[in-house]
Amino acid sequence: MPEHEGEERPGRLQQILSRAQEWILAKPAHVGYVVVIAALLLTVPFGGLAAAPEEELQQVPAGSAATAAPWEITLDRAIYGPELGGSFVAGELTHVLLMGTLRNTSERTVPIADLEGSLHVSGLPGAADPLGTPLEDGAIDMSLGGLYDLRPTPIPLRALVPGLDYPIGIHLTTTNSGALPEAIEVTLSTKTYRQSSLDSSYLWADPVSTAVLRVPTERSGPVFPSVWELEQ
Amino acid sequence: MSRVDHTARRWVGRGGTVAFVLAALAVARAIGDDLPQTAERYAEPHLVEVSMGQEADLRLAHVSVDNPRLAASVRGTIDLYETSGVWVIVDVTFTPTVEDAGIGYAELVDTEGRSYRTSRFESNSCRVSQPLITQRCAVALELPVEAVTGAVLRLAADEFRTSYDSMLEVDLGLEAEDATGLSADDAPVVLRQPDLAGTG
Repeated sequence: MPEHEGEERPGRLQQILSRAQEWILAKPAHVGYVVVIAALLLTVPFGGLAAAPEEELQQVPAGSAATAAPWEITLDRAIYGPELGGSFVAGELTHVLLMGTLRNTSERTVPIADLEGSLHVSGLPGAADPLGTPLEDGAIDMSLGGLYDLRPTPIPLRALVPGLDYPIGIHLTTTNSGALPEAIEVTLSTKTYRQSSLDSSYLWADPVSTAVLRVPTERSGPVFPSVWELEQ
Repeated sequence: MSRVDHTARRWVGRGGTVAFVLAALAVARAIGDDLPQTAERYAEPHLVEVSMGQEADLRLAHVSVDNPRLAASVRGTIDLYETSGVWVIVDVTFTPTVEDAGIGYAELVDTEGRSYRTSRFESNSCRVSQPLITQRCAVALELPVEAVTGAVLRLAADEFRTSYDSMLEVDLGLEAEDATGLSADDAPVVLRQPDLAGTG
């Protein structure tokens, strides 16, 4: 019952709202709390704090082009064997050569070292660098070279200039001397050209996986002539 | 004035201050992003523009460029370099002036600003020379045929650190039409290997 005629007692909800208003206005910090809580609640319809679902990687068959900054790459096949000819002479490791076409789609020359992080090779048993040190997580190692222009025989590339197609061989090595799987999967990642967080230089960084290229393998004997043979 | 009104007015005042500071920071950031960065501008290499055959007085050497030509393939000391574009080859003459120096940095820049640097291990035959010892050598750079017209060549001593240094720039005067008729079947241009000529 109202205490006086014509005066209505505030409802329970109004009381709560009034107290909430007083609490919010009591200190500016309380407004911050409310803003943070409201922002978190706004994310609920979009999944809240749950892990974002990973985008499915594009599956690229052999012979088809895939693009991931700063590269456009086509891989046709992989040949392997203890000796492939040219620079790939017999030794303790098995040579694997991913063959295809590579193009630098940026506006500046990109050193081959930037292929590291752009490409990851999975399904290559015994993967190792040219000195036999095991490589993990499908990493490729360009510190000792590893990218070749195949015209007219494998010649080491130092960098790729913009806008030209290079018929390439990516040289991998493995301690496995047996047969390789029927296909090797190469994961392609796109990078961003940005300023280094350490100095004022710019670099290709922050790789994000975008596509998987499936490359069929075939065992091979020596197929490349040496530069000396080409001279004759 | 009720307590709620008082606190509301106080909060509005503080909120206004915060909004003003945020707006000032946003404006300053927007202006700052558009202004040239002083340190970066100072660090940019100092371009010394010369004509073909004219000597540029760089910080570490006197450098000149001559005999520009195009080719479908280039032969280095061992390897044969082919390209899906065209090779630009120039002869370089340089004389270090104060200390040992070479031509570690070579770049073609086309009219769109795209940068083409050395792509093969032996496509720059210039080696480090001693003061007052003149060296003749050559640089070969590849680029798409359509990028040839108007391309300029830049040379500097250090391959990796061009900041605060001087850099030669020369307009090669080449045209894309000059590449017409070049064929991979043509005899490759043999890259000049370094030779020395004492001048002092």
